Amino acid sequence: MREVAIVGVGMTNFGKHEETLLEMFGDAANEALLDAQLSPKEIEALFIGNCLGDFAEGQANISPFCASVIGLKDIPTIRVECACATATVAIREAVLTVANGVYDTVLAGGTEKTLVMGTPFATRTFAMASDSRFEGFAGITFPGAFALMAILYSREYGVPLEVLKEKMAMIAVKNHKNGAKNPKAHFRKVITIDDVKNSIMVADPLQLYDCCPFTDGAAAVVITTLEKAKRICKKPVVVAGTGLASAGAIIDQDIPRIKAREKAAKVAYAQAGMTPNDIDVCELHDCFTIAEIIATEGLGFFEHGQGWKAVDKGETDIGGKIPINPSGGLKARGHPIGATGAAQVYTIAKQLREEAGEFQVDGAKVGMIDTLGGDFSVVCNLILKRGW
Amino acid sequence: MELTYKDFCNEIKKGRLLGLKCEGCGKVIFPVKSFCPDCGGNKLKKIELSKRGKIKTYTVIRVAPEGFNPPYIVAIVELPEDVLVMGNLDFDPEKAGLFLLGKEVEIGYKEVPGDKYSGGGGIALLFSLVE
Ligand SMILES: [Zn+2]
Repeated sequence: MREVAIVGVGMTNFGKHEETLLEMFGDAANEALLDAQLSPKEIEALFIGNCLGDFAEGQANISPFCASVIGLKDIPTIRVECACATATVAIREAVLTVANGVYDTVLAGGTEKTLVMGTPFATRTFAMASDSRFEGFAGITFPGAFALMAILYSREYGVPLEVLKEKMAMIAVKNHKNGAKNPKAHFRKVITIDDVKNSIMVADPLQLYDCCPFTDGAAAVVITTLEKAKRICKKPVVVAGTGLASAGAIIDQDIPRIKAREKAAKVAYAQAGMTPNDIDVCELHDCFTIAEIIATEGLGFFEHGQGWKAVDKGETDIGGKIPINPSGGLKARGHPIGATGAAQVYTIAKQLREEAGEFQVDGAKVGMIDTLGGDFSVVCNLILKRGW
Repeated sequence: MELTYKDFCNEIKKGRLLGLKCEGCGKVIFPVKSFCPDCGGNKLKKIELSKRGKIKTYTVIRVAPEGFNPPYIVAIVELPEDVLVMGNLDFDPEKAGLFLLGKEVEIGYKEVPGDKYSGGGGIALLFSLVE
């Protein structure tokens, strides 16, 4: 397999967009190609993540139109859909084709609009990523799925729920504090623990501020061989390892652990020849505050049942033992589901290139991306490192 | 498939909660599959599962998908056969609390009409506390 690198990244502001799915993708791709100093004509294939275009805009079959909007025709285009892990999976597929010599230079990313659907219908479409027969008819939602996990986590590990909720609130506060420093974040405001505690209940015990928002946005990355990357760019970001794993319905899983993540991370670490200790910065899937705790354990940063203590000691802050979601994470950066993974790659690439500005983690040389889809049924991990 | 969703729904309406059992290794399987996840065998036979179990975890859904009327309780129940099922708990959501964990429930069902995206209607398991 050939070594693969990311040579350009682009991302729209996250938040509410009047632009269409294609227009947002065009903007993100434009920034990525400009960053790579490449013409679209050098792109041999496109891997685009999009979950809900069918519902948000009545736009299915989006991948050829994404190529068209950046002036490309006659190239292979592939739409990927893995719920909230969509863009990370698209990027991983793109990396694998370059690694295996299918193409030399490709574009990957994601675009998503959720706000236009309104909360009840958006909640309905998100819930479609659970098992439609054995879970969906019970009216499960994504906050609901992680609420089930929060209660189970509390019980399994003997952490009183009110203590766990306090730490979960602190995670929301941390991620908002980080997001306030990110010019592209959906929410750029600091919040307090009281803001979390006073917010409405969404799915007991998760309150509104335990939950990431509905967001619109797009992000894109240019991927090529490390050999070419070294010729055309000063700071190529190497894809050191990738992992992807799946599981069935929640009732088919070994909850509150997320085994798909544990497997995906294990494969990514092995491929990179690294351990959790080698990771300097991590953007992970904090769709809900409890999700951040479970993810930090599944990725091996903390023991199972211990991750809830980390935020208290500042271990997951910028400057801490393992900075988690310095960009604000899904909680504050926002979560346009099919674009989120590409935004995580964008932000880790910026970290490694020391271009993250106010939320820069000093001297970050290795970064990890973690994206979870559905009710824990798909997890994709990427490990990126400096290629210079 | 040895057990289709349609059969599962028809059987629960007759009072039988069906799952599968692997003839190769004895694993009880739910939700339905065409292969055993443990041994890879494809000789799976329908079995009747217990209609009593214990609440493993629960939540009160207060922001619901279009077509559902919050608040309502979604719970996961563990059966003696060591399988999990998801459904709704027939209990006042405003009185729900951690005391529900471990409580024994009886498993029934309710019909859910579905919407234009659900491929027709289905059933949700309905749990009621055993006193
Ligand atoms: Zn078996």
